[in-house]
Amino acid sequence: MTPAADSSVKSEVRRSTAGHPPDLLVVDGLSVTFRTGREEVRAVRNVSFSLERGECLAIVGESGSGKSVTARTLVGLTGAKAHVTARALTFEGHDLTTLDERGWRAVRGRRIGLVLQDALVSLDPLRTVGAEIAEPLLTHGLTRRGEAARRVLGLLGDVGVPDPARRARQHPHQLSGGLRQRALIASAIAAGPDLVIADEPTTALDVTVQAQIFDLLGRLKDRGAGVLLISHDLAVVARLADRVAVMYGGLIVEHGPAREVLTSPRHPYTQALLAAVPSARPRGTPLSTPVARVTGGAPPSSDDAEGTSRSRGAFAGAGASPASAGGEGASPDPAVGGRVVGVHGGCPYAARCPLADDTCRDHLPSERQGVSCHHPGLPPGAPAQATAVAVPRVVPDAVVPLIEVHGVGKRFRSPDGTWHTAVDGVSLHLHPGETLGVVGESGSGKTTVARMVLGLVEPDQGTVLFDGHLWSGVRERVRRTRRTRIQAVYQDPLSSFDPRHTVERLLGDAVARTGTRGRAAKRARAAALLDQVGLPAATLARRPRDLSGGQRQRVAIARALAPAPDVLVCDEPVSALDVSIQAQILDLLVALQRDLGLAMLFISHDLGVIHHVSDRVVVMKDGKVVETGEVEKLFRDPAQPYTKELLAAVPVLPGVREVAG
Amino acid sequence: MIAVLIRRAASALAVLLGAATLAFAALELIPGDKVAALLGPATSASEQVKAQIRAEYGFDRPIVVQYLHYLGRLVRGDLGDSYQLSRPVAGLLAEQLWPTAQLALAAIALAVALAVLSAVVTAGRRAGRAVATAWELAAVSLPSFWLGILLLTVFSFQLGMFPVVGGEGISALVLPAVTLALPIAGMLAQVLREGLEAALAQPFAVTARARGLSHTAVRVRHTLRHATVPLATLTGWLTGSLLGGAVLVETVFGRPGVGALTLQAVSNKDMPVVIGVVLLSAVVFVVISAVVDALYAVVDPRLKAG
Repeated sequence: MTPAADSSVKSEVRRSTAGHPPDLLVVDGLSVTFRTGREEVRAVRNVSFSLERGECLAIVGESGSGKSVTARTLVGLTGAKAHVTARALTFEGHDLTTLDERGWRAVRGRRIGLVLQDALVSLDPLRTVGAEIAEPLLTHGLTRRGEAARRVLGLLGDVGVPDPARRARQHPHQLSGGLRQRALIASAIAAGPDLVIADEPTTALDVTVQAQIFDLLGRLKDRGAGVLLISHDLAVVARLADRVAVMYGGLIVEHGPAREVLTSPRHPYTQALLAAVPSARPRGTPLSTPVARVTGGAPPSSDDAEGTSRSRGAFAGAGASPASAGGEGASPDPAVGGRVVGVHGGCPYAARCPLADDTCRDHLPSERQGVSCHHPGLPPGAPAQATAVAVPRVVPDAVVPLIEVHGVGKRFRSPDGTWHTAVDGVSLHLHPGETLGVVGESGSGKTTVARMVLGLVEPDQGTVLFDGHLWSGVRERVRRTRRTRIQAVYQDPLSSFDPRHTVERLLGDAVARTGTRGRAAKRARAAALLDQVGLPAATLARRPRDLSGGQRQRVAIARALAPAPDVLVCDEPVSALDVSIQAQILDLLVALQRDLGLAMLFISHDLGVIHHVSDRVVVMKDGKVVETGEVEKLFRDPAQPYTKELLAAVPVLPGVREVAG
Repeated sequence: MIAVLIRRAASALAVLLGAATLAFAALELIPGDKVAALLGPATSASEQVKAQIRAEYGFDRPIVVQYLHYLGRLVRGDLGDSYQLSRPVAGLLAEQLWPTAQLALAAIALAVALAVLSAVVTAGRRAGRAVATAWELAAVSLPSFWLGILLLTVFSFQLGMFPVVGGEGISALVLPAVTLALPIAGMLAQVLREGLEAALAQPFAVTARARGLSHTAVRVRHTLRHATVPLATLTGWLTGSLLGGAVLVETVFGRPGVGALTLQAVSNKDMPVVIGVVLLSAVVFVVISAVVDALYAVVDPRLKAG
């Protein structure tokens, strides 16, 4: 399959490995540069790693760190605008850099399989699952057309899809998220590749499903395939990875055995990433790094470092579960992924690093013992800012709840005419000044409950009371005067803003509704709101599209705060954000709630996030409340099997389970 | 499924009834005496004769009765008689529909073929895209009568490859079909390319490439189908409007057809024929939109449920 021309390179590599069979994958000094017009974006800079059979290497980083571009480079799909250079890029001893398009086609799918995130859009939605899985077999001539169907059934069975014959005839949207992802993996491994690259393979999946997908990838590894795992989530990769490489700004900043990197990180960025994992921190302690807090949580380089484009494909909407975690991670356009901060010679992390000095800003650190940093931290000790003590907010029982939900139920009609029950006899209370976390997997009905509390969905049964008065089943005229007292923050602020309006106009509209008149007064109030959420007044002139995901979410929070509400309903407010940005937003919400005395209904699928922000928790499954209780007690001592199952599936960093649980 | 069919049939009937009613209202609201139009501009008749004609055609009865009679005749497929030709309108339309359908279907088939070729080859490729966009823009902007005359001049008068006028045989179909097809192909190609490029930007296109498919295979096996939905919408609409008569092109090439018939009827105020053409167009659009909708469900299984 490899052209004879690269035999010289092959022998060179063989010599360097001194008689041993060559490593499965060797990447040495890989750089990828995108040229768009006159601009040059260095997405990947001098990256080196290797991978053996039966081993899993995880590349971890935020969006824009270059991790996905690195993955795409290994299958030659970086696009025409990319310029790829490497001292060595070999797969099973064959040089990949000399491959032409024909040579790449023989490698792709056959020798290296690629699994992307979100099978709803990564499998062709118009073709049957069976046709998609058979495609690599037919493309590489591994099977005849008549035989393909049988092979597909075998593959579906291998990846643990029940009733393969029926599933093979269905389309991706007819499968659940977990089955879809299994089908996508089946198509990637159909031709028996030796290397599987999984780019965010479990993002947007529920935690229990995530665990199953990682088990499946683990079995591939045990069978001798090399697995290259790309993820934004350090806690998730801990499940599978033997070694971890942390990327930032196109560089590998830290690299080593998984256990070492995760338990005693030495690079300040790795430390900040680990600190930002909510389940790893005591409640009441800030998640974000000091420098992010000092500057109001939005240093230009930190929030800006995430790519501005986070849109999912146009077809993603059809049938996608609204409650799913959303399209985090690799942006589909690799060119967006590489907004490198340190264009000058310095360390790219210097702008965000609490330890940065002039050396960091002027000189790129070279690698020593797996870490590229001028001031590598000493392993490991208690992180510096973990000293704050959780302040339990005790809500006296005597206080009248702000929101009372009594036995509400709601049925929806499916497109095929059948009814399904989204919410079934749910009751909950929200007291002034408390945060009630509602946690559940997609389809648990948590978003429908939130919409009932917002007065956007009428319950079929039951009632909702707001401040002692009937809130459900009343006329919109009655409700409208009180609507401003309940505000909402959603997952994707970009779709809830008019993209043509400036931030000043977006906030000005909200401010005007509270009675503030006059351009100057509105502007002053808008600037004050921005200050409250840690954004400079200069943000007023910008448009949503020019803001990063974190900044947009801050603007959304500012807009929700404009009418000085009593209740804030947050529906997955941080699910689409990188973990360090997520940490800043969570810190902001907790601080605002404390300072303003807001009551918060916080909807999330992420138990770590729920644990961090909530006073009390409601666990939902299939439209019903499974368990409810005070957060520490519920996490420490769950009564229901489902809650136990959920907690067990949460990815936990090695050595921090006792803190989380 | 059956409920969906019933709903569709009901809405189709509603559209047809609406078209019939509007046509009837237009006929009543047009200024001037119907009898005068019936007799033609050249004839003059006594009041007695006119009254006799009124009674014969039922023009003297109450408007509601006339309307119900009109609907009753429509149900039986009777569109009335042409004032000018004194023949049943239904027969006239049936005669003229076939040449028009030949022309329209030939033009659409040619246009779709050209558009698919142009878009699939050039989508997402910078150099090819520039060339293709240029010809498509030119094709869209050409006035069809001018293009028709140009083609006639070159291929019929100078080269003598095709007949100058007439509606008989395949050779007479070529030039009018090309004339109609070129602007449509330009339009379709642009819509198709946009759809292809949107689909190529989707993650599944990357997945397909990562399985070892070539650029062309990804286009043909995956993205083309995604681009088909907007293409089908536009093609259906264009087919409908062509079947309603391509007046200019039929005139330039001296072809018989619905367009020529319409032109004649309008200039002679031959209202039963005009109404017949309106109703024919309504039927054509209802049928085509049903076909296009059925096609959607075949192309995109996600739309089946709706």
